[in-house]
Amino acid sequence: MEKQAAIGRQPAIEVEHLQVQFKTESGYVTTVEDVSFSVRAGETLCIVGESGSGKSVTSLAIMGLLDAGGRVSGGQVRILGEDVVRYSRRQWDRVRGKDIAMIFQEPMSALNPAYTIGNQLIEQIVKHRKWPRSRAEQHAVELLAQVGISRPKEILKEYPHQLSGGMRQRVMIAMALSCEPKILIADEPTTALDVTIQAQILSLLKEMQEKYGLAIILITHDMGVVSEMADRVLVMYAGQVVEESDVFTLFEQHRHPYTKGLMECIPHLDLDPSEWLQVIPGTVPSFTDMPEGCRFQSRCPFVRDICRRQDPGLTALDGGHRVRCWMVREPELFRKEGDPT
Amino acid sequence: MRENKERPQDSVEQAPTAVEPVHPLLEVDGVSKHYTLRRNWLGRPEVVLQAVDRVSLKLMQGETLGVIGESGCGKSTLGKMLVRIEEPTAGDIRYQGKSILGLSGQELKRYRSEVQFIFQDPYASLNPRQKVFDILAEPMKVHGLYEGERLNRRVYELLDMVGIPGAYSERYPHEFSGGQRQRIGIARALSLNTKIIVCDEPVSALDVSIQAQILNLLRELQQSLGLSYLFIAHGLGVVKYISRRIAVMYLGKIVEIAGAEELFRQPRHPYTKALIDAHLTVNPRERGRRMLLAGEVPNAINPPRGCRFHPRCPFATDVCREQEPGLEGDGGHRFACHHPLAAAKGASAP
Repeated sequence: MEKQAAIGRQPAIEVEHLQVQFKTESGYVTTVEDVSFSVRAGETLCIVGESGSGKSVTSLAIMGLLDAGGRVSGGQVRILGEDVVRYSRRQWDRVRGKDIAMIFQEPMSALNPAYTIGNQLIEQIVKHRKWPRSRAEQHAVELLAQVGISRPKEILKEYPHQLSGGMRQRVMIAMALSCEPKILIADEPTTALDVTIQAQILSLLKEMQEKYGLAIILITHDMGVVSEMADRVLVMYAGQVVEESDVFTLFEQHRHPYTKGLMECIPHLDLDPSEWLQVIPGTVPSFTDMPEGCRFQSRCPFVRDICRRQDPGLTALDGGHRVRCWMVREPELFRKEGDPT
Repeated sequence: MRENKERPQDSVEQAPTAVEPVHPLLEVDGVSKHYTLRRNWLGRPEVVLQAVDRVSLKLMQGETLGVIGESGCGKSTLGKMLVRIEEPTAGDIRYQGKSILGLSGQELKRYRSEVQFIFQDPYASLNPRQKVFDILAEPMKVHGLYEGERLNRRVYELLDMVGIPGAYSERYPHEFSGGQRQRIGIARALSLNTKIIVCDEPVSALDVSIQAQILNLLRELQQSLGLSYLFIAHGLGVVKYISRRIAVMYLGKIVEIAGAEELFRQPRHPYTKALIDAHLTVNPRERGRRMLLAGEVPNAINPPRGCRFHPRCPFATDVCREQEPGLEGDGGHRFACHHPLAAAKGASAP
């Protein structure tokens, strides 16, 4: 109850200077560095980036779900005001599923193939809510109906493999919502789905957000999903946040060359057929061989000496817009050496 | 549709929205692929999955024909039949006017050297125990095209064409990133006397920045080598970027086919419209403005009677539930629908 009252006044989740390391043959490698954000009830934060950007590792770290080789080596994660970074397994069991829940790209990997949907869904409700089975079953039927499943009673008796990808994702959302969490992390929830089903699932997530006042963290590689869902956006590259802003600023007034590159290499439907796609040359540097200075330097068309020497850090602009780029931090340097734009 | 001046094959091609061109390079004629899942006691098919059902299309020299559709629409099966990984259960496929279905021996070998395939996951299609050099050299040796020093030169030339440094030829597939592996897959597809490449979701597994590199590479190679592509994918933006004409498939059928610009400007089939609507634009000010298609793609084992799209179609009437619509319309833009969407006023091609 006191937690209930706390929402609204403070963010549902706050992450400060999160750092994650993974053990390799040559010692620990930092794969996520200095990630900070907060999300309020009813708000959606999208974390967007390509493979190796650290977006998924960030979400797993927040959930306390890093594999054996990984550890949170710095920073804080406060869920409903409490720092959970040093939580034990038992402490996590009280939080996970109840305050914060997660859905994944491939629901098949999160559902147990050997048990019916009913078994898994009802058991979870019984465990977390300490309800008698009959009441939990009633609730399970209601939840499945809420997420748009038309024959909820029959679905309870079916096994995960009997459902389509879209239906499985609906079941996952029902499971995630079964204990009325305050925070939902959705890691590429529609990437494996067909476009018409993706549209349905995104619309369902919005509906559930309104109904439950969820704070949603949505991890995606797809700028289309960001544009459709986000209130605020973090763009990650090579383990760092390179730009953060509200969704309109991000699409209309982005400042980081990587964000610009990402936007331009998407084949828009209104692109003139005689035009060529812009590309970001090269590939993401490897974590074991990260350059000094700005991590985007090798692919950046505007690169200057200073970019190779020192990381620019995040520069704060108006309206919570933050950018990790020397062009934003020291625009003078770029004018002197010739106009890059 | 405007003529694209950057493409070199203009003299051979005709405007796609005009009269159907006369000499297709590859012609798919009423092709079906039905899988019999169960037979009754008389041995007659009882449960049949219709992966592809009576599909016809033509691929012209130097053009890209895009095929879009959701999972289970039959687009990949169609691609596999073109390279004879799968055999059609009905219909015919003609290459340069000649049926390929009866080919064997030397003739089949020649066909396979001219019609190549690239996959979504190049890793699965590259032998992990072979060095890149051997991956590229082997098909050329098998087909007796090059040997000795000329073979070496040809391998380096291929690597150069796809933007892989020649020094990497001694490396194994696992040493490359996804984008580089796709480049190697493309180099291998080019190693013979390639005229057509069937591309099955070649960029779906790649990051968007790498996807753009590969799409541009495919376009460049098409221009310099005069290749024809059948480009199968589910991403609308990707297909539109690379294609001159586009076929939309649903549950084993082509429901609409038109020039790329025309298809997006005025889709006539409600399914095409729904697909375009479901495509997420990258403009947050346009969010939520779309027609949401209810339900999911039905099972191809018992496809709905009449029009296969009718259970999800907002405009369906009795005739749609009873009668299967044929592909109609003028030569360049055809659609299979009893109640096609109105053509946008004043938006028709000049």
